[in-house]
Formats: sequence, C-alpha cells, structure tokens
Amino acid sequence: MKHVLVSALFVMLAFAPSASAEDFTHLPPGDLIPGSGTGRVDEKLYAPELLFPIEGKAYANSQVYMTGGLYGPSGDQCSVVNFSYPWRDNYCEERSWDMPLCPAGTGHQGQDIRAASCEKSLHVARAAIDGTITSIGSYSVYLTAADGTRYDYLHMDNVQVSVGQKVKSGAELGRVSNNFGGTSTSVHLHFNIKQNIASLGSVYVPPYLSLVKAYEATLSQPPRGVVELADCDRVAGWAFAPEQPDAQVAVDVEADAKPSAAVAEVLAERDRSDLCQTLGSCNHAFSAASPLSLFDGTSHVVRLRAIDPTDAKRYELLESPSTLTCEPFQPKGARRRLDQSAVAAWKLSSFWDELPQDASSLPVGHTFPSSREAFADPSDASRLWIVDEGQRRGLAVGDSDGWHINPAALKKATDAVLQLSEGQPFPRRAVWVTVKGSPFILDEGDTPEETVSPVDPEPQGPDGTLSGASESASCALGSTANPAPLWLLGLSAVIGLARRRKSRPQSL
Amino acid sequence: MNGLRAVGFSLLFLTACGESGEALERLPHEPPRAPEKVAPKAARPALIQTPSWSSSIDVPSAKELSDRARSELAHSPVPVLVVAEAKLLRAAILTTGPHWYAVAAKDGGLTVALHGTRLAYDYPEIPTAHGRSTVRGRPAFFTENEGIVSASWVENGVAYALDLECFDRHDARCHGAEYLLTLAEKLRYVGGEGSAR
Repeated sequence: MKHVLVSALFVMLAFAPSASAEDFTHLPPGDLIPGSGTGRVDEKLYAPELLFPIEGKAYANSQVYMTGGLYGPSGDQCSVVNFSYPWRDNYCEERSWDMPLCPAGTGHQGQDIRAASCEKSLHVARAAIDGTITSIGSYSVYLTAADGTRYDYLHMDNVQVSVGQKVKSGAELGRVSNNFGGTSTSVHLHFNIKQNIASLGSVYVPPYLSLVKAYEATLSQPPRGVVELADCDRVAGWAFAPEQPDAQVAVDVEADAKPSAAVAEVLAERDRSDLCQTLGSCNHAFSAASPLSLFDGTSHVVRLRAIDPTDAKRYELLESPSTLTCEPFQPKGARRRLDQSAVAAWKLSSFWDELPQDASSLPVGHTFPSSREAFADPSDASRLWIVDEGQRRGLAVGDSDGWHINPAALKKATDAVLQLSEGQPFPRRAVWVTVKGSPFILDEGDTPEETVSPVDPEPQGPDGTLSGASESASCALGSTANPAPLWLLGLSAVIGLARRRKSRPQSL
Repeated sequence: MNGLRAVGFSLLFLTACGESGEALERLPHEPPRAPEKVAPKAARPALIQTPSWSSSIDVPSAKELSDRARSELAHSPVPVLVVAEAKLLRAAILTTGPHWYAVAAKDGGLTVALHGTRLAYDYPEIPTAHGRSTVRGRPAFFTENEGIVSASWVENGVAYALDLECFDRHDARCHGAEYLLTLAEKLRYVGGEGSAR
C-alpha cells in the first residue's frame, strides 16, 4: 500500500506546475540592449562543465539598461519585466576598461543575473564547479577550478565558505544580495569567468552561453520513477523520462555500491494501466525477479537509478535504496547446459540469474534452447508458451519477469506452435548454476540424460561436450510426448532406493 | 607606468551594476569593431606552459608568511609571487591547484587577490593582443569594474592576475591604477615546487 501511495504522490508531484525548458527563452550571445554597447558574437563555451550558479529560476539581463537602471526605462529594479525571459547578454555592455574580447576593447566583464525574486539574502548562490575558494572580499567570492579558471561571485551576503576551502559543484557559497563596497546595488549576482587564453593571458571571457547551457540543464527534467517493490521475490516499479516520453528508460540496478559492485539493467518497458493517464503512455513499468546472485543469506543494499536516455546520467529512483536479505535455496531439477548464444537470446545475466550454490550433484538434462521462442496464448491472456525440444511448455504471465520476457512484446502463438505436444510447465524463473566453470539452467520439468552422483566427475566427452550416448538418450526422450512423469517416477525410484540403501547401515 | 597611470586617471569610473541614480559617466571610445563570429568548438585545447623558475627567492618575504602558507609553497606548480607589505604577507592565505596558485590577503578594508596559472586555453580564432598598460615591464590589461581594480600580465610563462577590492567604494586604493601598480611592482618571488631545481 505504501508504495502505491508514494507512486501516486510522486506522479502528482511530477506534473505539478514548475519551471520548464519550454518557458525559457534567451537572446543570442552578443545581442545587447540597443545603445548599451556592441556585443561579442561567440558560440564558444568557455566553461562547458558549468553548473548554473543560482538555485531556482533566474534572469540574466542588464542592471543598468533594464527598468529602474540608470540608463533604462523608468521604474523599479524589482519590476516584473526585469524578472522575465528572455535572457540577454551584457558581457560587453559599455564600460571603460580593458576587455580584449569585446569588439570595443572595453566592456562589463561578466554577466548580471537576477535570482527568482528581488528579495535579497534569499536565493542561494552555489558553486558552479568543483574547486577551491581562493579569495573572499567584502562583496566578492572567487572560486578557482582545477584548470585555473576563476569564477567570480559579486554582491553576495551570508557567505558560507572560507578561503582555502574546497567545494563541490552545487555547494552553497552564500546568498544573492546587493552588497557593493559599503553601499548597495540592485539585488543580483555579477558573475565573471576569468580564464587564461593563450593569445591574451588571464582575461574575463564571455560567460553568457555557458550560463545559458547550464540553466537549460537546470530546467531539464531528468528521468524519474519509483521503486514500488524490492524483496526476495521481485524488484518492480516504474521509470519515465519526461523529455522523451516515448522512450523506454533503462534502470541501473547496483548491489552494495562497491568498486566491484554487481550492476545490471532492467528496462522500464512494461504496460501498466495506472501509468497511462498520468504519464501519458503506459509502457514505463519494470519488473524483474530478484537477483539470484544476492541469495546468499547476507544483507545487500540495492540501488535503482533511471538512466537518462539523453546523456546516460543516473538518477536514483524514489524509495531506493532497499536492503535485501535473501536466503539461499537448494537447487532442484535437471541442469541443462547453456551455451553463449542462449545466454544472449534469453537475456540471462549472472547478476539476475546465477544462484551461488553448488549444483554438481544434479542430473544433466537436455541442452537448453539456444534461441528463445516465446509466444502469447491467443485464448488465455494469463499464459505464455515456450517452445522447448519440440514441445510447448506453459509459463504464467506473472512469472515472465523471471525469464526477462515482456509479455506485451510477444507474438501470438501460431497454429503450428499450438499443435506441438504440451510438455511440463516451464520453470517459473531462470536459475543459472555454474558447475566446473560451465553454465547450466535448472529445470525441474526436463528429462535428465543421466544422473550424477555428487562425487562423480562431470559426464563430458573429451571436448567437454556431452557424450554421444547421452545425446542419443536425450533425443529419444525428447521425442516422447510427455516423458517427464515417467522419468520422474524412475528417478524417484532410483533415489528412493539409493536412500534406503544408504540409510540401512546407518540404522543398524 | 606613467602611461598606465595616465590612462587610469583619465578613464572615468563606470559602475557596472549601479542602481538608478548612481553617477555614471560614459566615455567616448574607439569605434566598435564588427562583432566577431566564432565557430562552435566541442573541445578546449589546453596548453600547459613550462614556467621559468628563478633561483633568487626573497627570503625575508617568505619568512613573513604563515607556517601554513610556507608549507603550501612547495605545492605550487608555478613561481609564487606575493605582495611585499608585511601586514598582507602575514595575512596571506596560499592555495594551490594542479596548474595554479592563489594568494588572498586582507588588510583593513582592502582585499588583495593574486593568482598565477600555467594552463592556458588555445583558441586559434582569438588573435594575440597585448594590454595597453605595463606591469613589471610586461604588457598588461588593466580593468576597473564593480569597484575592483585588476591587472593581468604574463611573466616567465605564467599568467598572473592581481585584484584589489575595497570595502569602501571611495577608498582611493581601488580607484585607478596607481596603488595597484605600486603593489604589482613590489611583488616578491617566494618559491614554488620548481624553486629548488
């Protein structure tokens, strides 16, 4: 119930009114307010890794030539028009001093940026990049990045950092204010980038386009989603990329967050009717049988992150991480040899499917199908058919997670499939075991080619393949309409006899 | 230097972000050049310059530095210049990065920031230009904006920048180039990781 409420709440929040990339407009670099100077038309990003230096909405425009400024229209600096898009460059706005990159040779040095409102000491100014605080003046903070580029923040108050402090991108430096040498200016951030240009030396470089890109990144809506279930049965939820609503988002699943952490992906591609209206399309759910590699009786911290289809950045889902403690279980059934093509065809992975248990005592069955032939049942929506060794074997739709099958993506079974004899139900999930370096899939409904005692060597031919005798037996059994019950009876009889034989001396 | 002073005093101060009513004056300037169109660039080619190291460390100035600043000296990949005034030296906080050093110091209402870096971005489309001013015998750019006066120049392969900021906007030290140049001319070399080579 909890996860449903969280999911519903999150969907509501995701669609609450907020700033969006669609709202944001900006004039091109170098396009200054007429009469305020000649701008530099420059499409270069002098600081491509910049994080926008103010939290929330912001408005880059002149303090002098906009409403309430000395050369602007009459009115108040807090006028709504000053807090509106489009943004406008004022890097080369008319000033008197050396600015070698400005067409006039002089200019304003940086970009003036208003925060979301005219209120001072409210809006957070944050580190635009990882770096070191190299100077704090009476109204300035200088942040220097590893490459020596300096980012200057002017007119702040409530400065939260000290000289020498190393800060990470996004850390609060202070609040946007109007401090200016013992007096005041309008409430805004004056933002400079001072960089060493080989042909010039250290100069103020145009910050405008880097700020535009950084702001657009701030406004972009990353993928989002919720982990609704994470236990020893399955991991499920949904993930959605608002900017690519038709994309199916991959979810990165990581256990234990160590350098050697197991990482896998699951695709949020499944239809779920409750998502249709709120997300605009239905196929954004994911569901997977819980990773068997974690079934070792110890606790594992499992994180799920949506992968942005645009830039592959990871965004942790709500309700992540989860802690899973799953007890190991005893492998059962015949083990069926798995070749590399089968691993790919069945989308198997050691993270999801490999049980860390010894299965060497299990009998060897038929080689597992190297291709996956799965079909929807045309008359029963709750069942799938898997073609295996010339038979069709049933699998409940609810168990399709365990085989990495998306039921909605399956074709309906043809008459040719439906005319195949019906075999034992297909295993409810893929259980991969490794015996002597070779992968196998466990199948309680498969017919063993031969039984193996725990101490017997692996029955393989000289080249590591099954012996010819076993292959023959496999074919013979595989052509039988319903061989498993007979085999099970036989196996039970053999095992029962063996147990009785073993137990007899013990009881004596 | 006199030339720079003349330029400094002849140019009138413009407030960058002044509120309505602040006294701003505009100067006649050169006719604007046509805007320069530069093609987008995906990567920024960086050059790491090899600084020239002097063997003559100013020991008295180095001794004025705090222990912490002195210990940081050895980490600077470029020759460290510091201001010569004892008060500022004692207050100096030295920081270093992979390609740069910075010194910050406060004395009363004055904040001095000095920065030197060996990493330069090479944009072939940006032509070579030299500042109209002179600092330490080298061409320098001199700026005064937002109440901060600064000069930048290249010395021994390192791009240096010296900035002065005053708490009181009427403080003469942050108006014009005179005080800035006085400080710049008296900068002292106190070491760096290459100083022992």
